Amino acid sequence: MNQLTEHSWSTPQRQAKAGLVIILFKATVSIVKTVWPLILVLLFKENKKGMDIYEIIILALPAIILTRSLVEYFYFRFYIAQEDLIIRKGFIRKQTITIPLGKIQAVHIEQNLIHQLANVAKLKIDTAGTEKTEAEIDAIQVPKAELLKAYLLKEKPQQPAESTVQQPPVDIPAIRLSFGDLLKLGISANHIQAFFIVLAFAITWLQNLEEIFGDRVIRIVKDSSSQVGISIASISFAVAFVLLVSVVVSMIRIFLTYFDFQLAQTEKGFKIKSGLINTRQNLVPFTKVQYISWEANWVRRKIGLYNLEFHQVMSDDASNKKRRVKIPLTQPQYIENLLAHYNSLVAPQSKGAFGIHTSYISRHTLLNGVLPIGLFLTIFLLISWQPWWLLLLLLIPAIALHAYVYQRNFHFYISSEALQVDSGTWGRKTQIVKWCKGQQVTLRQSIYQRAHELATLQLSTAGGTITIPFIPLELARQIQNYALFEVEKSDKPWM
Amino acid sequence: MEFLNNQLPIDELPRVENVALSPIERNYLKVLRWEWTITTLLLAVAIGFLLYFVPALRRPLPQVLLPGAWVLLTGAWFFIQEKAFAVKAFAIRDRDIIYRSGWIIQRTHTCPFNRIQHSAVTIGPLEKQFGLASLVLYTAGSNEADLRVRGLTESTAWELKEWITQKIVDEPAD
Repeated sequence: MNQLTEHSWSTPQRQAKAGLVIILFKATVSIVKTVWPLILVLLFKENKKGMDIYEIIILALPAIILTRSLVEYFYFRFYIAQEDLIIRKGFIRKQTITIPLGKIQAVHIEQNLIHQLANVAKLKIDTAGTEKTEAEIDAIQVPKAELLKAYLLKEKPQQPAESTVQQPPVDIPAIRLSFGDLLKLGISANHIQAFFIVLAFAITWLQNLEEIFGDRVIRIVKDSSSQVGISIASISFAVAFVLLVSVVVSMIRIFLTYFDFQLAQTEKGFKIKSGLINTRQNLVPFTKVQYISWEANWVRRKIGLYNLEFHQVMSDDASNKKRRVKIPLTQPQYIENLLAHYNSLVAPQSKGAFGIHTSYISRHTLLNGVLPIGLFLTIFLLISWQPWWLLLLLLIPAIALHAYVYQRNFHFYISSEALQVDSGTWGRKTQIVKWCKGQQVTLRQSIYQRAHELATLQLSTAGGTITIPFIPLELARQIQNYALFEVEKSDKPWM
Repeated sequence: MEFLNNQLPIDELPRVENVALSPIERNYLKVLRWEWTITTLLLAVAIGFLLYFVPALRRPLPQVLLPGAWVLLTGAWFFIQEKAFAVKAFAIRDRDIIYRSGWIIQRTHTCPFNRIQHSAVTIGPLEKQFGLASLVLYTAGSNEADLRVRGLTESTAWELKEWITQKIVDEPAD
């Protein structure tokens, strides 16, 4: 039986018939998502004078949805040829996806409510960073899904055992946060961010009130605000109040996230546990770490409090956001511990620090300051002449100062193993990436950069991209060639 | 400007800049021009429609500004597209693929074969008319780390895909 099924994978096959329901549902959702403004217009249109263009479009929708689903269903094939899983799909835009079986990281079988009703499952094939490729089969019978999963994973070669570092046999507690640490974190948090959360919350809350009580609330608010009037006292009171609320909110956020924070080192990775209400537990396997960064805002830099992040393989965008863990470093020596399994600081072993070219300042100011502000001002002053718009011009020196400090602070260090990038205007950020973790190297040159022998270098990893702007072209090429050499000699696994 | 302190001879590494890149198919320019023509005409119809049917726009200023913007934007688009086409080129080395594109910002991507997760060949309706295809190479990096080589003949695209797939399989799985 089993052999028979194995053999049958090589013939191209469609999805399960019951899957048409799923495909229909999916098409409906995606089409409704794109045309919902139209539907809204139709629903709330007041004067009715027979059929109009909108209604015809709406009436045509089911036909479009049905056609699209049928096409999608009938032009979808999957099969296994030699060592590859092949998915062919599309009618107007034909697509053939080939996935070498050895590259398949995981196979997920999912069933939402409709899947359960139709007694089918969705098969998702995970190849580390493929959310965008849609390597998934929407509808497949459950037993078949199980068989295919088993078959796909059976072909996967064994991971090479990692045994370079003598691993400690038991969990070693590495970091714990005390109550004082939490307070420090809370006070130095980004209150501006918290302020916007409070603001957004207040706005939705006001809107809800308006919906419930109608105009009455608005009138009351307006009346009371006009009574108070605008005085220095009321403004400073408002500012103090907002500040206080923001501080309290960021304190609460910090407490919710970092309460009982524990980081322990295990044989395979770091185990992180934290959270007051939603306790989150994360395991960061050493091999999955693509690069490491730590940063601090201005206040935190002054009190020596950094947030470290392990950038892992992004296999799925949605779950990745949840999995992102920032580790508060309350003591500087923690950094060395956390780096030990990746790569130690590059700066001490490097031959020297490299910087970025001073023309970065003028170019950044021009492209991000003068041009957009100039354009904005021209348009708005043409529409209506309001002299106070000219105050926007003050932003330009601020942007220039920002670029100047950024250029002064930007340094990178190179060793045969890794790259370290230090940056930051008022705060500080350090990134360390091992060459062998690179996925792609890109050299970017604007017209200006081409004329001045400069380039921007991007090193993409499976956990994110590291960018070094405005360095001499020759240096950029050397780094590019070296990074490629390190990746291509391929004696180290990247995950 | 040597940056390493070990014995590795930096100057003897294979150099990306010394590779002669081959331009993509000339026919792809036709695809681009067709795309340009269709979009430009659609835009023109839309603008004409707006100017004719929306009363608020029946004033001299919009009557001049909208067509003016149309001429400027589509003209700039055409110019940039022609310039950018000349830049598009690719090369295959033993261990990686190089693709260069972009005129205002020129990007040279180099993607090692041992980092490619899987590959795809896509053929759009216009491309099909000219017998062209695009080769897409997916890496584990973020979206920007995927390589899309446009304007290959259909047979070249399939051959390259076959060849690269073979390369991936030959590599020890990471």
